[in-house]
Amino acid sequence: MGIRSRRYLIPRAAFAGIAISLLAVIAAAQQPRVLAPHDPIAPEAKTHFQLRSVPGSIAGGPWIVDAHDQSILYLKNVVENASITVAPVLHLSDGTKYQLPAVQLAPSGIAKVDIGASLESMGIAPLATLSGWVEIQYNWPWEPLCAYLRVVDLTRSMVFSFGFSAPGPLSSQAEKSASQVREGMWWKQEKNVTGFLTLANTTPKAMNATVQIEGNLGAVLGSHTITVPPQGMTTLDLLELQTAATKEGGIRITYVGAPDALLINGGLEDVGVGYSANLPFAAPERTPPKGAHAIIPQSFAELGLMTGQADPYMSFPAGTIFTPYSLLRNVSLSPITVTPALWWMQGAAPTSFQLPSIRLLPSQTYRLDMPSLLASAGLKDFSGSLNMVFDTQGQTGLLMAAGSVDKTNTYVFEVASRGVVKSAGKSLSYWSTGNGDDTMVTIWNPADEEQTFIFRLVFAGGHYDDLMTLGPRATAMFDISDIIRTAGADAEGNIIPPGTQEGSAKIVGIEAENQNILLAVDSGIYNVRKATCYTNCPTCDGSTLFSILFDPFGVAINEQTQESFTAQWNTGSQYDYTTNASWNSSNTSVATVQTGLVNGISAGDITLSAGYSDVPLYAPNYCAPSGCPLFGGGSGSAPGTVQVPTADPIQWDNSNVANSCDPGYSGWIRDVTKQVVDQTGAGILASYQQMAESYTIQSDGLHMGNIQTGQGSTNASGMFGDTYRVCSTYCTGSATTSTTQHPTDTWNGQTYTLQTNSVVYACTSISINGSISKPQ
Amino acid sequence: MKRALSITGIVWITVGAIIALGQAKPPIHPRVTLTSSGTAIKTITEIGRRAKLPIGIILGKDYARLCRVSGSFDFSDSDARDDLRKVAGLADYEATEEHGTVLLTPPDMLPWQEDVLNHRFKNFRGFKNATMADMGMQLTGLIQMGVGRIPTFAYSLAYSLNDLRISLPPMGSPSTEEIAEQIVSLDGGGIWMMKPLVPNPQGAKDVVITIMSYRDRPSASAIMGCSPG
Repeated sequence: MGIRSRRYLIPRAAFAGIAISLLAVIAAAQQPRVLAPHDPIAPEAKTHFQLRSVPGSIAGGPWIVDAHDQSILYLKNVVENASITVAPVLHLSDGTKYQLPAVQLAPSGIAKVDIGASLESMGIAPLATLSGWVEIQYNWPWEPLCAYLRVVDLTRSMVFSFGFSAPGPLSSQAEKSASQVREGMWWKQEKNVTGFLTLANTTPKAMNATVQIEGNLGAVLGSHTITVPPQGMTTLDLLELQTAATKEGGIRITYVGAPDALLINGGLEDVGVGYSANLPFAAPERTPPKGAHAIIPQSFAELGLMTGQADPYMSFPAGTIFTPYSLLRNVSLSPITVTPALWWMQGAAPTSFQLPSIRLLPSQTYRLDMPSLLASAGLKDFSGSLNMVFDTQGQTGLLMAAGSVDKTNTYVFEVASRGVVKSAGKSLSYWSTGNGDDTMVTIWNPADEEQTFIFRLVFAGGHYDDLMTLGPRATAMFDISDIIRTAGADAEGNIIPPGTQEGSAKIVGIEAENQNILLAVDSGIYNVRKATCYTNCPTCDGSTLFSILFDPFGVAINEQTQESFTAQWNTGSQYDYTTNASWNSSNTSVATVQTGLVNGISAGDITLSAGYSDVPLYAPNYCAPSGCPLFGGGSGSAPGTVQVPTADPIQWDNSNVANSCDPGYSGWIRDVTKQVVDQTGAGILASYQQMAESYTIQSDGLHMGNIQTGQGSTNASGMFGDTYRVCSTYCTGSATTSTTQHPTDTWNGQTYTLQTNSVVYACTSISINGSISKPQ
Repeated sequence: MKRALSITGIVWITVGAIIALGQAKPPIHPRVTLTSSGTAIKTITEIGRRAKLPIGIILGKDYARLCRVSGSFDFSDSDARDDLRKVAGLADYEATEEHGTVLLTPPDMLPWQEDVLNHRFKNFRGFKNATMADMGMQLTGLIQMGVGRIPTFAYSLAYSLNDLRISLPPMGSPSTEEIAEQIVSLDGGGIWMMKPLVPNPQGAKDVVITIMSYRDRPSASAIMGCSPG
């Protein structure tokens, strides 16, 4: 990959001169050492397995269009070597459906769809508020796009962004009738904050849901039973928030159906001051794919929390002061204890301060007292950004929300919590530097080792690579506009064309896109002039499918064949995990396998399986406040046969006609294509099997005496030709010569005697195994 | 019939019709670099394949001679014809050139073998859309039926589906040798070998013409062997 070296050791934000507590250094020293991944990197596959496109869709929302609100659908093609065409479908809240024009996305390309403009183009003028959800249909072997919806009210400085998920097929009846619980969290930044909830029904049947608003200790503040029309959407105003005695609490939604049947989203807002924030919801429970395991983070990071005076580079109005916030909710059935720590850059040195542990009871919502915690860390007067890291010791069931808000509550920088787990590359679906926008990216190296990454800006017609070296535990913050402004040519000579203002980005290991790395990354697109900031969902790159290359496969007895275990990456590449994988044969008396090399021991059938646990699985559109990748590892299997060349049946006749013999002779010619088959009748799909034959004559009415023979080799399908000719002077009657053909197959130095063929030569036909012709 | 092979001066006799169909045009002085050890026939085959030089081989009374004599050869950018002469000479074969084909003649060629090679076929109709190996079989049939007067000729020829199919046009009254030379001078070149059908051949009815194309992927050792049949 092309690289232009840049060491990101010092955050752009300046630090005020403050005294760092000695405790911080001590606390950092006590932390267990975290290593960067040093997993072997699978090479690109030399032989690709074939893929079959399948119809699929993702769904997200809500979208809202009215006099104030504009909704933009952002699409990103995660496939880097192929264009894709997607079909957006708008579902209105009453279930009405509108098919929008198809959108073609170039490799790695992005597209935006203005939903209001699309409705207008179809003659639907939004006189009143229109809202609903979006389905995006595609035809591809895996989920090929990352998408999110941005709903913005520029006049009131409100912005929400909503991600997408794959509803998936409505599978088993048990899943359809399963009881689902989705947990969310609310908080009031100030007393006038209220909220709304949207429930979109992706199924063709009406769905009932119960919404329960809870206080910070689980007390029920209100309950609602909602019926969502088929493929419609219902919006619920969270009026309880206005009268709630507590400043934070939970939301519990229960319904019967498939995990993703209801799309649940919502927001917190105070229109009066332009405050807006997304309601966080825990992701539906997901089952690991076959052969994979769930990846459970040991810690979570909230990156880039701003505190103190705004960074002057960001052009906020003078006197803008930010305060970070961070909330936790225990959505599990057991108490959870977490230990937070603050990490920040002291000059070029990452510094940390461990905070007291927090014990959360089930259903408890807890707002961290950030001013006090910062003061305890000696950061009372600190201006800059910091990371909050929660050590969860692998406990699950924690819902988090965080961000920074200015004192007027107009500028809200939401920050998602990111699970700290090793992954392959991560992608940011969209960045913008146009129309007053800029995109802030925060990257944290959680390892106690230096790591080097490639940050790739992708834009229409190209990309630009920037090398980033982050020291142990270091954080880098930068605006995309910084890169564009200072970029020359990268190591491959790529430049960023003038006028480039939008695109996508990805961050990968320096060796390869499938190199495992350990980092946390977050980004936000902010616009000081419009007083908006919103995040978009990262995509964790990874494997989408696994395959054993030859499926089914055949190997000759006493011979070997090399199988390979290949992973299809979401970007379009395929990687060869043959040497990484563990291999297994279902019957080692039939065949053994080592590193994919199959040894045929005895005739029979086996199932070959391969698996590897350290490959991350592709996690698209993962907006839930958690980590990604969600799952790791994959496996594949392939049936196979230890093949013994057994027979060479005719596949078809090429010619079957009278032979043009010399005067006084007449005869027949039959030219056939044969295939070498094994003991089961399956073709042995191997080239260079050397075919030979000999004859014995049973009765020689044509007085042949002998039959000449020749040799040929098979093609990759195990096929070869065989020409039979006869010319005779004994053609006046019905004389025949009955023979037995003895074919042999010499393959990899071993000669196999095949089943004999009965060949009867006559002057007007040549019969092979009783048949004078083989139907085409 | 034969003319001593000149290493430096070679006269090419061409048949226009054949050239038009893609007759092989080896370099005038093809050169090879080759390290080989094994039987003479193996090295001869390898030289021919590398130089794309049409070759004819006659197995004489001691038909195993070329397969019995072995040696190590190290040719470095040397003239292929010269190399053939050296290798064949180890088995007391004589290398001559006929119509662009290097003919390797054994010291113990039988008189009837020469008769077979000189036999002319009136109104030879050519071979259509056949592999070189198949043409060899058909030529064998012409010999055994036309000269050997056998009552029936039959063969069963396994072949590779990738083998090149070519055609040899009709000729006036060519000899066996001329037909064989023309075949191995077609696309890509090849080797023809006159070998016995049985251990103690008595005449034309016991003769086989085996042909190997350089462009196809035969098992050379099997096809260009010295065993009868």
